[in-house]
Amino acid sequence: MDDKEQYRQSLRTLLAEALEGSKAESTIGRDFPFEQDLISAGIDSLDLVEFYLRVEDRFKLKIPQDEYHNLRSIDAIFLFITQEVTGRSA
Amino acid sequence: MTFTELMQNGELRDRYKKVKQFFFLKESAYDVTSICQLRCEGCYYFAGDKYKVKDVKDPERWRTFLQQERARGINYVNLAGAEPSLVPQVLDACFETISMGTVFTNGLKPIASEIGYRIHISVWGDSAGDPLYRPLASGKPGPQCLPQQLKNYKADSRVMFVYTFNENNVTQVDDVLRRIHDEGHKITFNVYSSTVGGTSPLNVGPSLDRIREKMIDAMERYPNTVVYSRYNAEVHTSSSSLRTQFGCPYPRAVEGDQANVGISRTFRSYRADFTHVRQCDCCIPDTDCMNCRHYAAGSAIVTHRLDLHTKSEEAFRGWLDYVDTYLAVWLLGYTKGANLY
Repeated sequence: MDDKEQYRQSLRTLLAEALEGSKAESTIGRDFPFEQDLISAGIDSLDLVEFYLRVEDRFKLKIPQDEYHNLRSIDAIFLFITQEVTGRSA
Repeated sequence: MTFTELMQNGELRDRYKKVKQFFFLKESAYDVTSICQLRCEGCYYFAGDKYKVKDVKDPERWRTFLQQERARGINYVNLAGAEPSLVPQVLDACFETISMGTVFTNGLKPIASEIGYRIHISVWGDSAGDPLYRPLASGKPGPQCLPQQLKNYKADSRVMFVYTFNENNVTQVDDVLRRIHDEGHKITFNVYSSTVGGTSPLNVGPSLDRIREKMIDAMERYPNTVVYSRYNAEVHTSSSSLRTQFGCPYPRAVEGDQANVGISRTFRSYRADFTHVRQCDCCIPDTDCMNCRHYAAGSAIVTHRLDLHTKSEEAFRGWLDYVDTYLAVWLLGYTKGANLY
């Protein structure tokens, strides 16, 4: 498994943790598509915010609230993290 | 403090899990009629042009309309208007189609017990204030509302009284609290928020600090009657509006791609002819956003900013209390826990 795949799997795990106890808990399986729109998948707004907060904690970065609407898939969040990390080291 | 660290605290984690399971609620607002017996000072309904519509009165059309609303994901209805109790056949049709919601009423006419919605009964003052603030539509002095409200809804667990503080009625809440407590009812608080360009004498200003002190005093004196929290009191009596403090997620306030998430995506405020316009899609259209301190608006405005409340344990406790209060006020059968903040 390459680094990109590991990161995306890690994000999928964080998403599953955010959905624990919510109506959408059954939505996320091991094969949940990375490109899947999270809102279309039935994930509600609080689940999403919790997911973003967990991402912030895990990757030690800040996701501004006005970016939330752009981060609607695991792939989009992966891209955001990559840009943040790249920007930090540049 | 991080979210992960906050979740290490069992008390906070348990409360968070308790409230989180109700975020599946997707609401919209519906004016079910444009008629009312009263013309309350500063009334939001008659402030704009919402009443200049031809009401849909046919229950079958309401049933079909709400089936369409259900199909787009709405599972909670806020039924307002002018006065919903005057169109009982519409309420029947609504309840048969979407069974969760709240009816906003002046309480002067009882709503049938079969309608299993939360019922918010508006209270604007005591025996001195009511006739002053709530004249009849004919222009004559209004009735003593509270005695009639208590008589109509005796021992009715659907009811939540809502006392709207304004610039002049702060101390009038004392008599209201006593009477509601004596009848075993519950009460929560609202703060009058001016309409766009409105010059009502009810507009709050210098009294905000006194209102906050009165709210907290009421919670301490009647802990089993008042459904509120210290954090609610703080944010609703701040010199800044809710929107200034937290931003606003209602469609009326957001633009572009940001309108594609959460309540920004789904909330609509329908008039009694089933029309809606995006510029009015919030819980109380015609309110001046820069003075908005509505209890109904706060249910979305404060709750949607979990991210702003995870910087400290104190802030998170406030947010948990706010959400717990919101659910107790709006969801029939939900039991509020002890305040944590």
